[in-house]
Amino acid sequence: MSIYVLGVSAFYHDSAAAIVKDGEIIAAAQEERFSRKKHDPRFPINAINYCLEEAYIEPDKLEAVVFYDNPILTFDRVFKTLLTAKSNQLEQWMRISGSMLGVKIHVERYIKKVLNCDVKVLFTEHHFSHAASAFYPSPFDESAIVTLDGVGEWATTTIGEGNGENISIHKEIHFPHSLGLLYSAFTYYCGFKVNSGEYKLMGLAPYGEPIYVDSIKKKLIDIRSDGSFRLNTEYFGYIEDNVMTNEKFSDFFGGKPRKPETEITTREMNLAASIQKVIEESVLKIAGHAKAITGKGNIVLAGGIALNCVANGKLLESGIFNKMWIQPAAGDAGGALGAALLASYDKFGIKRILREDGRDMQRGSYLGPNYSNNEVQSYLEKNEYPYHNIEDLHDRITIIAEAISNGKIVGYFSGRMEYGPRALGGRSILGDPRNPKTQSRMNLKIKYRESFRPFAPSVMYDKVNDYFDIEVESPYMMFVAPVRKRRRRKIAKNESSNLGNELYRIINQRRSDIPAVTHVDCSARIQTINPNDKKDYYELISKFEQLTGYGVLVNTSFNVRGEPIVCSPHDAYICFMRTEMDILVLENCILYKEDQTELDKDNSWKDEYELD
Amino acid sequence: MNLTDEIKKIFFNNHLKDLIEEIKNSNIEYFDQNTEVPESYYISRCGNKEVKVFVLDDFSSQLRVYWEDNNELNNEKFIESIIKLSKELFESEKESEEISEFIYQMF
Repeated sequence: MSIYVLGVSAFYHDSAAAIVKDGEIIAAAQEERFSRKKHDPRFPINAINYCLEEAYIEPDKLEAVVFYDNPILTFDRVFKTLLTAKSNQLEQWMRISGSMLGVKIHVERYIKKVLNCDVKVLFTEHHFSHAASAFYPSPFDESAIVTLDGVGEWATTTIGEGNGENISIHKEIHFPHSLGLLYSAFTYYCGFKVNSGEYKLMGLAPYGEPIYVDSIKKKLIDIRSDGSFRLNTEYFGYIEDNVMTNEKFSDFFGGKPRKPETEITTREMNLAASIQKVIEESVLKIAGHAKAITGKGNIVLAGGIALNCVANGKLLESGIFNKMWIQPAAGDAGGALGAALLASYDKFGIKRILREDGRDMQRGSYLGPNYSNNEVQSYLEKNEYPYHNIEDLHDRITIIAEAISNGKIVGYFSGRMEYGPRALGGRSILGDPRNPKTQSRMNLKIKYRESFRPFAPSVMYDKVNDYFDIEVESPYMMFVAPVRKRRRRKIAKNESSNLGNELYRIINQRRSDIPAVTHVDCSARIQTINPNDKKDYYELISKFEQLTGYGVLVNTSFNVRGEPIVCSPHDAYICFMRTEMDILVLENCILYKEDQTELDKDNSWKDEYELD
Repeated sequence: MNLTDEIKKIFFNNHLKDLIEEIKNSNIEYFDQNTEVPESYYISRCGNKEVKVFVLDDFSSQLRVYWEDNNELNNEKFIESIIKLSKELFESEKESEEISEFIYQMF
């Protein structure tokens, strides 16, 4: 009899479910993709239903459901935070008691009620979930494990190791000292949304100078040589207020936090550059200590900070470890997968079997729903949307590659949806990286977002060295690496546009022969495509190379700003029609914008999605 | 103020207000705010913390054990009333779909 285990993460941000059969990952998905509410924290009923459907089982066939967090420890932290707050205790109590006592400590009851059966409910700890999500799917039999995030129950940082089926945690750093919270504090102060805008801060960093590094290290964080650290909580608001930073923080950096959606100034750019440097220093030192205490040659990472692909790139470059693997759903969503895997190996005695080809067990992170071509056609026929069904893969990719080479922007919906925050060719918008206008067009006409943020390249795994200085595959877009020097071009001083402020003056400079994916510091957030993970996408890029000489495409997530990545053909069609995308690919079906009847001119849909 | 808010407020006034004051006037320090600068800020894990997957069938008794293990007997007296409140709130509280844009989602 097979052992099915369902993992659940919920109630904070990015709720998710994952199902594992005898240790093999069958399915995993975030709730936001179904509910269409970005970072949805609610109990992931839709994701659970999908996982059970994919595994083709009823809930009573589950060996257990595992929750990713220990409500006792979390309650303890929340309770003690309240008791020791210097002010606003009643306000805090009114804000947090309902969700903590009314919802979060009743997880078991929730699960049994929702699944309508007396299933065994187990719990683990937040950072064990992260650690398990990083180690078990990795291709390593043994490795050091580092987890870094905002906060779990008490832990914010852990160092441990994995050996076969066993994982252990050796050292921790506890709340309120947290690299995730420190980074979120700067996210807030620079005018981006906490819990979602952290990656914008990372994207902004290369525009600035790290002039505040010494100030940050002198006043806000003390980093020891072993990477352990302590924050000076006098500068932060998160213990007793509803914001991340306080007046003392503002005074220290010479002004109030930037208001969202206002002009980004040199100050924000320099702050972003500075905190990025501090995070990189911390991550490298923590990794160095992990190496020292575990003696392992490999490292795996998870937790929200592990989504900082610039820091990951620095760690890779440092050579502290021979090999690295990072859970692509490194944030809380990945906790669902970690919880299910941990119970499978630690509780139910499943034997861990690594792949003989040395590849990981994450299956490209294509772990979400797929839709057959019949389902797509039924949807299109029912709604009378004009389309061309091109069954032959070669014919189809030729049409798509030619269109992209002619400057068209393509919505690409193919196979299973990705698990984690990155679109990896299952639910992606694709463009031509050679075209200097691709970045601003995709940003402003399709994503409806600020144009300072770079796009990522998808590159054939066997051609990656032609374009980027990276020696390993990066299938999950978790590493940033430099664009090859020979591809870069020098920018003449008079090339700067006079448009707007400092930021916008440098955005549209052509820095390489693949400008749409070359960030201001000549780096790129790389996704390597291996045909073993996604054959159709590899073939598409390969065809683009035949046509243009470039084995690279621009790949951005299939959504508009503030919208979760599309899940179903319907989500994709609506997103296609609301933006200036030229072509939509839904499995074998190709739809051209000019063939479609315009949707209602009503633009109120933009209010459906809060700006991220 | 709705009935649920009223219940929460009463609980705060009856149980927490004095405790907060008591803690303020004591040496109890829940967070590591030590002004000393040690060689390392890491905390080692040990003992039964290596139990990675567990059943949580009785929140109140396990919370009691946890606080007893940590010699935090001061808090123990609230357990029954906390559980009573949580039962009332379970009936009335709805899951929130909102995520703050100003503070990390940690409570």
